[in-house]
Amino acid sequence: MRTTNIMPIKERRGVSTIMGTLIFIGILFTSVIPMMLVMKQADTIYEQGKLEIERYDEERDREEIDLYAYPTEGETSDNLTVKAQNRCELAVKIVRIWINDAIVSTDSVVQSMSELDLGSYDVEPSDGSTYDIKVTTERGRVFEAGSGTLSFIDGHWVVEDLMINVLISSSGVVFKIYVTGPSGYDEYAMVWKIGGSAFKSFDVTSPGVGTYNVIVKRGSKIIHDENVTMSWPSGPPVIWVYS
Amino acid sequence: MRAWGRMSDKRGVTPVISTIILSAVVIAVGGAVWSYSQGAATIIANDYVNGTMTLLNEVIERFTVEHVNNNSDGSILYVWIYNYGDVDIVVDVYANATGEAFNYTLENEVASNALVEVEVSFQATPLQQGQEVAIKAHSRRQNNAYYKYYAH
Repeated sequence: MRTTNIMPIKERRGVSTIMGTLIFIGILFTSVIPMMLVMKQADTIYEQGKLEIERYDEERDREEIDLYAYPTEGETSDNLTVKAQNRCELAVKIVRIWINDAIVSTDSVVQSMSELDLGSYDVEPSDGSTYDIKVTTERGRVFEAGSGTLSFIDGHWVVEDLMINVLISSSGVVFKIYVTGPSGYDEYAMVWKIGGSAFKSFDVTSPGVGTYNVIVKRGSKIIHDENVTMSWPSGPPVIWVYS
Repeated sequence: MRAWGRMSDKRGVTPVISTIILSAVVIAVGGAVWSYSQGAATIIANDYVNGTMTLLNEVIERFTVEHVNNNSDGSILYVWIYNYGDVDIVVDVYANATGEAFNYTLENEVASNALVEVEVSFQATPLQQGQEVAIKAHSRRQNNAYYKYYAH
């Protein structure tokens, strides 16, 4: 008789334990685990977003645009031609052109290591006025025209100087630059690389328009030999040579 | 024997009732705990996701001061803010000129990929030609963009 009394007590305890366990497992699977999965998913989205924006920032930093502006049809032209040269590994989308405080919206894509004519713009120049040109890229970089400020004086477009700028980033420390051009123009300069690059500017206002030969030497070895043409006012007043 | 029989019958009914009652209590309490747990887990998960998304928006927010200009008498400073990020922003623009002239314009909304012109008034102390102005664009997500400008 005692034996038959003890058995039901054990069965009762078993039912409650099993039900409690089932509820606990139910809570675990329907509440806690989904909550943790959602949190994990949010973390994943956050990490992905952070990674994408880091990549975007890196691409933004790599953007390198040389911008040129010059009269479209000679020194009395009402229009300015704007040209962009992309010197980075990525395609760059230009979303705006600034001519002083006026905005021209565009969606021009300049492919890597190529040049693009961004158009000719009527600026209705008045005597004594000056023009600063710059462009904004989709990634938020702003590049100003390397040709500097253009002035319109006495019905003509004027720049202070015509320049050939040489920028050397090649390996080495000391470089010699030789620039020869029309009318016996012959200039020589020795430059030192400081902070990753060496820079030298040559004033070619005196010979003016013409073809110039730029040679860069490291020791006795020629590392760059290029002919460039200065054609101001039909072209930019500043020419950049990269070595 | 009769007495024992009656007793064992009574004990046979009580365990069934107690089992039912105990099971009912377990189900009731367990159900309440389950329901509470689900609600709490949902709220905790939502809060966590919202917090993470807020933090993400703070991290991916991108804007710059693209251009600055002033009018001819120097009484208004024009600041162009370009939002090149993927989220809309609200920006406060502060302009601090030499000579303790400090002005600002608050709550400027700039949509993603939009350019907005913000006017900062310098009516009380107009900007002079060549005067240096330090500009700070401060977003409500605590990011900043800076620009140095010389009045003309």
